[in-house]
Amino acid sequence: MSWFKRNIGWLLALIPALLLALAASSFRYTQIYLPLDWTQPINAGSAVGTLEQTYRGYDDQRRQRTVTVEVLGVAPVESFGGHAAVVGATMWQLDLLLSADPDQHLMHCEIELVDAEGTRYGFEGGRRAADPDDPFYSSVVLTPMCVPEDAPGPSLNPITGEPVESPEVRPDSWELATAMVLPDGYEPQQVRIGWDKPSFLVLDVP
Amino acid sequence: MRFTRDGLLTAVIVVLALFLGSQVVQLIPSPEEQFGRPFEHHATVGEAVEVRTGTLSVNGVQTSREVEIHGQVAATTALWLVVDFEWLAKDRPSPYAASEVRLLTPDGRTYGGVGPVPVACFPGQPHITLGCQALIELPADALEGAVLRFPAALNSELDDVVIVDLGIDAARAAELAQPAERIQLTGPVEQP
Repeated sequence: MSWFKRNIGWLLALIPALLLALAASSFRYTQIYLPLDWTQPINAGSAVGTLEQTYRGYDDQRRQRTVTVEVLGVAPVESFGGHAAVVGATMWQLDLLLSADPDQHLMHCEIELVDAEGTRYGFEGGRRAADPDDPFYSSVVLTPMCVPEDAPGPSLNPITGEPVESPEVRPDSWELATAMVLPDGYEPQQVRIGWDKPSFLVLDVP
Repeated sequence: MRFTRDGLLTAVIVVLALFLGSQVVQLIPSPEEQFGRPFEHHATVGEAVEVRTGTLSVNGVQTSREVEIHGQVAATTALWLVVDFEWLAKDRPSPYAASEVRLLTPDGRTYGGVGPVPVACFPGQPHITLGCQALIELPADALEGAVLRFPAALNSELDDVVIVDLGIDAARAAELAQPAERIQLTGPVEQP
């Protein structure tokens, strides 16, 4: 009886053992690195999509999030909110329609525009004062609230984790307008929007 | 106990395999060595280098005893080294941490870090080149033969790092050690 025939059982057992070793040593990648970045795209394949995710808030509680986002339009503009694009770049206004239950925590989202090559563009960058004489202009922009200012819905205090109630009940749907700067020659093809890593929505520009 | 030919052969093969294995292990760098060694890219002034997060090039250095930013003047009895460099984010928005730039001298000294004068290199949008400045306070004897170290990101240990040879010889070091004028620092400049 050859060696292989005598040890066939152990050789077969080696295959799952190696797979288990690989799985065990990849825990850091799957459990730590991947959840810390935007690694789970939800490709809507159209201008409207729904993000569903479970996330952990500042108070360490797990919550379910369901929000529908529709890209109403993306169009070049001269200026937006006191900002204009630097020479050689174009400012694009992005109009979104968001729909969610009033009890959903949706304050502060991250939005990026994506061009045909897959390059991502954020809020900051390529900005100058729309009015060159404005003495108080700052090119620093705050990330959008993503919710109506007077009715933001519930949120959590980022330091204490205490719940903060909305002064008014948020409507079931609301529009959000913002703008980003892309260099000339690059046009937005997709919109990425997300609240808590790693899941985010990828919507097509209509 | 009886020694068979097969048994002896197996023993010899096992000992040989263990010996070869231990030799291979000695040749392979240990994980600790790998952790302490980032991926170095060497460049000279004016040479653009692509790293994981973007493309970086040093345009030049200048020195001064006084730098001015936002109407405030910072003076030193040593020297301010002002490094003019360009940063182009790769495929996503990524600012450059200018305070991470270090100057390394041939005798092993390191200068740089967060100083009294804040320098910024943001926002870093793809396809928009950022003209930035880094500021390092150092003594005149640190200039000759010095190189600059630019990490690709904040935690540079397992990451790309650009080492730029400034090409400063003794004559150039002497020239830089006697700066004449105050330098006006500029904020980041964006060029699409």
